[in-house]
Amino acid sequence: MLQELKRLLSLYYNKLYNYILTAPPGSLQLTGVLGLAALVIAYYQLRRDDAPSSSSSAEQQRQRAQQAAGRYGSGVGAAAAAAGGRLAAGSSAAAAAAAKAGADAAGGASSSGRQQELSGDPMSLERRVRSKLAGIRRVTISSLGPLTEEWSSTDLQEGANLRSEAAELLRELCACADTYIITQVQDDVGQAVVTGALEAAGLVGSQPGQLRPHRLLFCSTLDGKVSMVRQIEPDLHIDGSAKTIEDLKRFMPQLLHIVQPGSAAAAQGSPNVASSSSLQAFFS
Amino acid sequence: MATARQRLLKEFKEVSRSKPNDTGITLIPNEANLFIWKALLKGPTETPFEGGTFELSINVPEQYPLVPPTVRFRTKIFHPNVHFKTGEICLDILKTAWSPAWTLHSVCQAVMALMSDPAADSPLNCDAGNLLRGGDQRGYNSMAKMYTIDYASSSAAKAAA
Repeated sequence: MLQELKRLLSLYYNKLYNYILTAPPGSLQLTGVLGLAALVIAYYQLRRDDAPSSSSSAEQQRQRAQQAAGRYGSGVGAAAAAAGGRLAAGSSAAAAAAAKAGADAAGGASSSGRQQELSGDPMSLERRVRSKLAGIRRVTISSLGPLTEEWSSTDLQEGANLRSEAAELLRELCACADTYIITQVQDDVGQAVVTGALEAAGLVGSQPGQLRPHRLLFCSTLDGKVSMVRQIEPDLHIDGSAKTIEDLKRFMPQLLHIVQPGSAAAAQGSPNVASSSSLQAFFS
Repeated sequence: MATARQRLLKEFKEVSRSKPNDTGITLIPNEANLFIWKALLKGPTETPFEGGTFELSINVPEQYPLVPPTVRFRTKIFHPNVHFKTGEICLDILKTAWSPAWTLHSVCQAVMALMSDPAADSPLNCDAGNLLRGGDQRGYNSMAKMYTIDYASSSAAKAAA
């Protein structure tokens, strides 16, 4: 495993080295600075992704990456310094640190990339959600239909059943956008069963990938839900109710209608309205 | 101008004597300018604003108390009679029903009463007004509580500072 990692790294390093040798002198400074910035960004991305994984495996990964960095860090550092050209002497320490950080990131990224190739997964759920939600910062979801197997507030009296695939999707949504869930209920019973179902799935809390408790909103009328969505002004609203989609289509930049089996997609022909049979289908 | 200053000094003395714990109102004049005040209102109990602290900015005109002060919410609040983005307040005593008998402190009391009893008929925030007019108290409370936690709770105040 470590050997392969090293081989992969040295391959990248040689490629980079050759490229620097053959590149025209003028472009060298620019690419150097851009490359350094990309490495630093990649490093911070990695640090963030590391957080939720268990501490022991994160520690192992870090050690592995550091070993790799020890071997190749100086090489990359030299390349970066050469590319950077006229870095002042005072900042060379900082540059070396940044280059080491970059090597760290490269080590981690290449290993995770390789793992993905091995498992044969072309694109993880996280990446699919992120690419679908590019540019979307705030999302509101009506839970009836998209998240629960119940489609109306009256059905909730029996209990709320979270769709099995919805939990994972919701986690990704919460991780990459400011997410609000709105549920129309008839009374406190409905509110309690929906809250209970989401909490039981571990979806409510203050961790990344969880819905903040006060973002779990309830209303008692369909029109009330429309008012709430309009107040929140999301970039994307997801709903299972055709009427809500019709009511909101003039005001929202993007709407997604999760169509109840046996009924028709709402607001067809509106450029800002998409429809899908399920959340999972939309994000696949 | 002179009368306004005298009146404000008198009000300041009264405010200094009163205890904010009883009323939920803290009135603080600007150190450099007696015509600019801020007020901190505790969200009234048994409302979705409970637990929050809401800041008002009060600008007193030179003709005070013949004309009302300009009062705005500095803290975002979801309420039918408060503009969500500007903080403008729709309250009759701050406009047509003003009387020189009102003081800055009684104005704050009126604003707190408005927080407890919103008037949904002439909304500055249509969405809040529509929720109440449509009889969706649950939705109104849910939204107002969320924004209280987001903007008016002590942790939100720290984050803003």
